[in-house]
Amino acid sequence: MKRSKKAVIELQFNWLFILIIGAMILLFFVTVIYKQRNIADQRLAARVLNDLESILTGAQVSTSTATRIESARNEIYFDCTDCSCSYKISNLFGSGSISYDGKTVFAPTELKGEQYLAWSLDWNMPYKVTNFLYLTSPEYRYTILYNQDVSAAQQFAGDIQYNLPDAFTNIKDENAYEYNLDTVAPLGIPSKNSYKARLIFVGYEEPNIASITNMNPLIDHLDYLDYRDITAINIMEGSKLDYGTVQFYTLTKNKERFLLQKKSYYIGIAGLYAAIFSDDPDNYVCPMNSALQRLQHVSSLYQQRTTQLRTRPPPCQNWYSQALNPYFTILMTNLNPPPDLTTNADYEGDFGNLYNNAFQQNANGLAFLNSRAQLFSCPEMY
Amino acid sequence: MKAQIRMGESIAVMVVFFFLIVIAYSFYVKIQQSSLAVDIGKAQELRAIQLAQLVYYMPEVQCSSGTQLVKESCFDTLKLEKFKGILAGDGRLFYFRLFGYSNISIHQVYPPSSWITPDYDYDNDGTKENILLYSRNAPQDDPIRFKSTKVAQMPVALYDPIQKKYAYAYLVVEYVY
Repeated sequence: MKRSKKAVIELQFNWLFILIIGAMILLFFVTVIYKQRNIADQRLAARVLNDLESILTGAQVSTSTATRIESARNEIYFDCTDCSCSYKISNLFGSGSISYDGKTVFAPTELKGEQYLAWSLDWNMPYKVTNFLYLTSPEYRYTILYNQDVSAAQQFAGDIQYNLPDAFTNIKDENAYEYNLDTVAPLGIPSKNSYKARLIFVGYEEPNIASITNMNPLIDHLDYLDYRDITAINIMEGSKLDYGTVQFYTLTKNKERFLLQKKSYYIGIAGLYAAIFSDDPDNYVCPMNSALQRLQHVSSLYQQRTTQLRTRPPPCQNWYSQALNPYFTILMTNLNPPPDLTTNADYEGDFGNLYNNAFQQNANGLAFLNSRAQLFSCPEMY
Repeated sequence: MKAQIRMGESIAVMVVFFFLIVIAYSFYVKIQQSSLAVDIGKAQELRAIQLAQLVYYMPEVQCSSGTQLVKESCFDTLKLEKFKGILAGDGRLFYFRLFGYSNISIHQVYPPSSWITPDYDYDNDGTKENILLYSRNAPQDDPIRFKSTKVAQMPVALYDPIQKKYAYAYLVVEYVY
């Protein structure tokens, strides 16, 4: 039976109608799924944010604790441009950047992976000033390379690993590698999946680092990473766990050579780890400056407190009087303003002296007087 | 004509169907978003407790012996007095970054009146003693933020290192967000 022309048009129109409506329904549900996914991501990100905030506060409270934080695959970006330090969670739309709020956090510019590692360490000068919090990821690769021509370098490299908590397997499970930058290839550096790499040179000079080119097996070994994802730090010869000089390096385009980004300094082993875990110089110097400011306030507090304690009868009075001048004064004046880590002011050659005079001797002197006060049952200075 | 009417009916049914689905979904999304906002807001509520924790363990106030913290939950009254001065002076800007818009005070419970150091601010009734350590009022002209206050309290011992005496007190942190 032959269909009429009208019926044929109606049939075609019906199919067209079904097609359009079907597409709309499909589109609608795709939108719903997409939105739901976003909401679920944001919810997870909010949870990570809450966890991170608790960890940041916890780090100010307890010391020498290492924890693993579930990241729910959220990336966190740390930025200290113009020393206005903040962090941002990738999936938390509209939350904006969250300020450090004066906390001394040292982290790479980007945290990625299924988990994050957090570790806090107290910074004593010689009295407790604050806790430093270090953040990194197990998927961030660290390699320590020491200069075999420098006698103390191997021991130093070993100490860096030894003092880390066991949870930091991304640094601890590798050995410090003896490595001649000119001739010998690094032996047995295991290849790993990582999103960034940081080379920790111990005891080298700038020309040594600058001589590393993309022909070098060390760089060749990291060929799977973009040049922006490979950074280096050099803990210069003469540095000790207590104080020292560090250089921050980045790779040039095409991984041709390492470029010196900034030279800076660290005070205390907590400061050394701060420089190691911050792959951007700003992420190191800005929180460090905040810590130095706090040192100034804490020193001022103890100085005022000791001045009041000086009214105590002898022998207590003697210890307090001796402590006031010059110890607290030197601690404060030599660091007020502190060696400004944000500038490129060069303390080369003098930083060791500055440290020895301003910190080490006065800190030791204070510690001695404090122990004397304790021995004579006097209220302690700190 | 009949076919046109049938088509019109189908379209009308579809329009109503979609209309209902869109309304239902928009309600659902609103609920989801407000629930998410609650989750995010929890971080702010936690902030008061975190702030109290932060003050609780600050080397600027805590009883200490060298680098060792000898007594937890203990504030040194001499340190409190000096720290109060620093918070009102040179350290005002620095510690604002840590404390934000908040009020931090320590209320002495026992002994009620004999504690002599540091200089106390008195409550309105003039009987209870408290140390108003830090106070920064939030700007009133912000239409959205700083409308809520969360209070956290924690017990603490006060220690006077000169007289070697203790007192019972509690720390009060009022955080405005």
